[in-house]
Amino acid sequence: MIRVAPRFRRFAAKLRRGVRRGFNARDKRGLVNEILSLQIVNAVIIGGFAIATLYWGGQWVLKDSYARWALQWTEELNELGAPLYLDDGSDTLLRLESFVHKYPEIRHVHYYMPDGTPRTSLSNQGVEPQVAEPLAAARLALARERIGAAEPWLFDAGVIDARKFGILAPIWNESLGEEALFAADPAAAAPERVDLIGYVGLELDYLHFHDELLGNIQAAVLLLVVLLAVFIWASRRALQRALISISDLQAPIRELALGNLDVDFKPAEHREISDIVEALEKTATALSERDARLTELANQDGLTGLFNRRRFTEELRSELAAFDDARRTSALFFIDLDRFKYVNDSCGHPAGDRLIRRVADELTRSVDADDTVGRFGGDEFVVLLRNTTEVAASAIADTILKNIRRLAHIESERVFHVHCSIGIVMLDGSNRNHDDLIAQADIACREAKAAGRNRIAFFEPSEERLSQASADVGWMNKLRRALDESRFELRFQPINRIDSGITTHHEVLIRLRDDDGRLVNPDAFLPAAIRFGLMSEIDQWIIRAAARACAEYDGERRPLHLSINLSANAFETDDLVRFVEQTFAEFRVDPATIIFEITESLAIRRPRKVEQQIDGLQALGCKLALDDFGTGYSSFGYLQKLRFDFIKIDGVFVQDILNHPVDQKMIRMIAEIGAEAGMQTIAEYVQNAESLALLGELGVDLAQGYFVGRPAKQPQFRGTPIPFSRRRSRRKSLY
Amino acid sequence: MAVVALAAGGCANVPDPDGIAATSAEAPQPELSSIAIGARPRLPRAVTGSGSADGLPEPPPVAIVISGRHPAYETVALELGRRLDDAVIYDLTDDSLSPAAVFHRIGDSDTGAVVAIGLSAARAAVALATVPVVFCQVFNYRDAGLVTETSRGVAALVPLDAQLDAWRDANPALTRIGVIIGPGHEGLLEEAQVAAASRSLGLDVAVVASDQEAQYHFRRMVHEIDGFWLFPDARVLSGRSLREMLAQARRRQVDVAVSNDALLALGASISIAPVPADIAATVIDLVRRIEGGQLGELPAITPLHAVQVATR
Repeated sequence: MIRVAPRFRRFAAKLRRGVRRGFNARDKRGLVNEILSLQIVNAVIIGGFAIATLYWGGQWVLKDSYARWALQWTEELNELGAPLYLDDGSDTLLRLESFVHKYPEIRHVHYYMPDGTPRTSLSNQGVEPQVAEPLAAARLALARERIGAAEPWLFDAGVIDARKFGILAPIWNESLGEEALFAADPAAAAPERVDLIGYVGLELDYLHFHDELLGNIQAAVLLLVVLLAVFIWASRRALQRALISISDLQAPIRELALGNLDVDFKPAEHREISDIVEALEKTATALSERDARLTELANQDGLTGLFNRRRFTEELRSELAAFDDARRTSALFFIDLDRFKYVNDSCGHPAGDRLIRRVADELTRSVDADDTVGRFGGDEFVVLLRNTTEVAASAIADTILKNIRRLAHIESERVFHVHCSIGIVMLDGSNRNHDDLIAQADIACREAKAAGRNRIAFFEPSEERLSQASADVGWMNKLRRALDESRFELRFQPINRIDSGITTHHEVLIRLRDDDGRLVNPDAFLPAAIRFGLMSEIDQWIIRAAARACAEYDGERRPLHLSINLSANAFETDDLVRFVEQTFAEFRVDPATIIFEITESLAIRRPRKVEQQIDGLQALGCKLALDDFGTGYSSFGYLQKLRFDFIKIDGVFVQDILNHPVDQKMIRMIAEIGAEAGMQTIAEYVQNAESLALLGELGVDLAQGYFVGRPAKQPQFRGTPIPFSRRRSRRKSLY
Repeated sequence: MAVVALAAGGCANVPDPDGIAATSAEAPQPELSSIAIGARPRLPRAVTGSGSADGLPEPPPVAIVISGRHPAYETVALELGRRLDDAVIYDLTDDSLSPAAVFHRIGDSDTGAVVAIGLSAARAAVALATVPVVFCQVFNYRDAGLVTETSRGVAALVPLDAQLDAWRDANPALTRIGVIIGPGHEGLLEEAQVAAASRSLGLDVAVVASDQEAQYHFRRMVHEIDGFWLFPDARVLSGRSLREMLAQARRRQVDVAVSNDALLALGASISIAPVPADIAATVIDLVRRIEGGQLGELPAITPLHAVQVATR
């Protein structure tokens, strides 16, 4: 047993694996087999029942028949044999022989005298010379009692359940009274005369008949089995034929599942399947339309309808991959509008959008249908001219310059003329890195701007330029790798109340861990991230990392409050609010503990999408801070319209506050206006205690900077000294 | 044993000129209440048919002995009583007198002849009577040895020709007849064969020894025949066989002809019975001839001439 058990376990495990493999190999059970199995089970049950009924019913009928036949034969032999006792004529014997011969089941018939002595014996072969043994006295007495009874016979056994048995019956004559036939009721005229004349005994053997019947039953069973097999075969064929419509659906549905929406469904013969086919066709059509719409949304710039950065990059990649002829060249334009910011700032964001759309139309008209125009965002456009020369590209670029220049854009009864700068890089297949080429075109564009705008510049591959382009592309690759490998890290810089010195919250700052293990500040990689369209992903990483930090923080007294600085790109996406909501829900973060900082320029522009995102975040319960206030537009009127919780005073005003009275007045004014508007003010770049004390005197609520606390790997809650003179009374803290 | 005197009464069925009378199963039967115990019957002389009115010597009285009070016996006894003067009727089933005492009393009287009606009465009369005996209503007279030097009989059945004629009148479609009878009736069977053949009727005959054998043959015969002629041979008939045969015949729509109206109630189709008046007349004729010294010239059995037919 000790040796068998492990062997059995191994066998069982092997069996389980085999079965699992079998299931995996065969995937799922077939519908035909499933239905067929059900039918087979039903057929086997019914067949088994039929066979059992046949067998047991046959047995029952057999037994009943045995008994009835036996009694009938006994009765007939009784009648036939009666003359034997009166007349030993051959007629009677012949009749008896003839009778017995007809029934092979009658082995022997014995006639006895009234005293039990045998008189005549017969078998199938005729009259037997050897007569039977005399009847025993007890049996004789029993048989005699049966005279005149309703069932005047005796079985060998009490129950007829054997295939061989005997019957003994008395033979007697009855006769009416001598004058009964002259009576009024002859049949009732009593008494009748009863004369016992002998006995008849039968030995019956149903073995042959029984075996024959069993043989028939066995043949019937065999026939049933054959019929069952035929039934299974026929059922399988019929089911396959019936389900062929479903089978026909397998391939198209598989294609559909793989994303191939251009599938053909065979018309089904059956109504139910036809409905399914119709529904599938509708589904495929709807999916196809939705797919087209999604593709359109994914590939197009929502404002202009031009290809977006992703799709344009794909086009460029395809073009580069298709370079198989060294003599063929193409051109890549990087176009940046000049003075666009002026229009945007002067007439508002909708006016800027209208201008962008007109420029997009102009660019599309300026190139061939085979060429591709895209928008990278803001006022940056790209054009891919296929199969062109440097001269032709230059000519087209000139045309674009001219057309854009002539574009008179009228807004609010004012006419704006915009220019553009175009950087061109020729594609000849020698460099197939699209990022490099975009960076080179960008550099050329910047050179055109630097050279006075409204001009074109070809990228000249000098060592410096290549290095710069390479650096840009290098950053982009680093950032992508950092996203893939989670090489970004958060740092937490405390923000303290000036009047109490208590840390209220922390601003999260992103760092990149480079290949050498050194931390890189965002100033080094964010421009490249913005240029190469990676900011959205970085913003999402920051939100998620901050949420995780909140979830993992195990502060005893209160939850961790964090301030997150997002780029403008984050607010231009459709799903910022949904992403924030899902992320906070995932990490169980209270939105009230999170402050989102947006720059003054973004807040002032407030394009519709940004406004929706801000409203959405506030609806979630998040707080908002206006970042870098004072350096840009600094329109105090906006502060009344916007519902910010904090105003972060740009560090330019703070870093040398002790020496610049103007900055002091500026800060005092911002703080007073913020206080009036119900917002708390935060001063950045607080470097020392004197500045902190002065800021407190100027009415600033909170301070951030190296004096308050450097960015740290973990949130620090180190208080700051409370200034001696506080001219301002404490206001109620938000926390 | 009490002497039973017959009161006046008439026979309901008088033979028609052809010797065949039709009646029904419900025809009125003589009533026992009409028989007065302990008195001689006073019968109209015209009925007795005696010759005293002509001045001839009065014939000796006749003793009538009946086996029992079956209608078939009583009607004959009544008819005899109607026709004979000073007839005295004795019922052997009456316990007041033993058969020996009855015949002792008859012997002591001036009785000239005994008329025995039924087998028991005939047996007793042949054995005990000291005067000539005429018996009637006995079918198996040979088995009982009833025909002796001093006894003669009247047929229990009407002639078979007449029976077949009556049967065919009732059922013209009759073509094949079956007969089952016990041994010792060869003459009867011969007469039946001749009668059937003369009417183009088939006749299947089975001579059997027991009721079981009769049943056995009947079961086989019934498929082949359309009429069964049931002779009153009590030796091979039992209550069970009689009931079964009649039931089977009815199931297979086979006519059964009997000689006793009572069997119609059990399922027989037609009853072709002797007419009591005919029996009585024949008996009286025999008695007179015996009294006239013609006993030796008389046949063992004298046939009847008239039939009465009843159907279900």
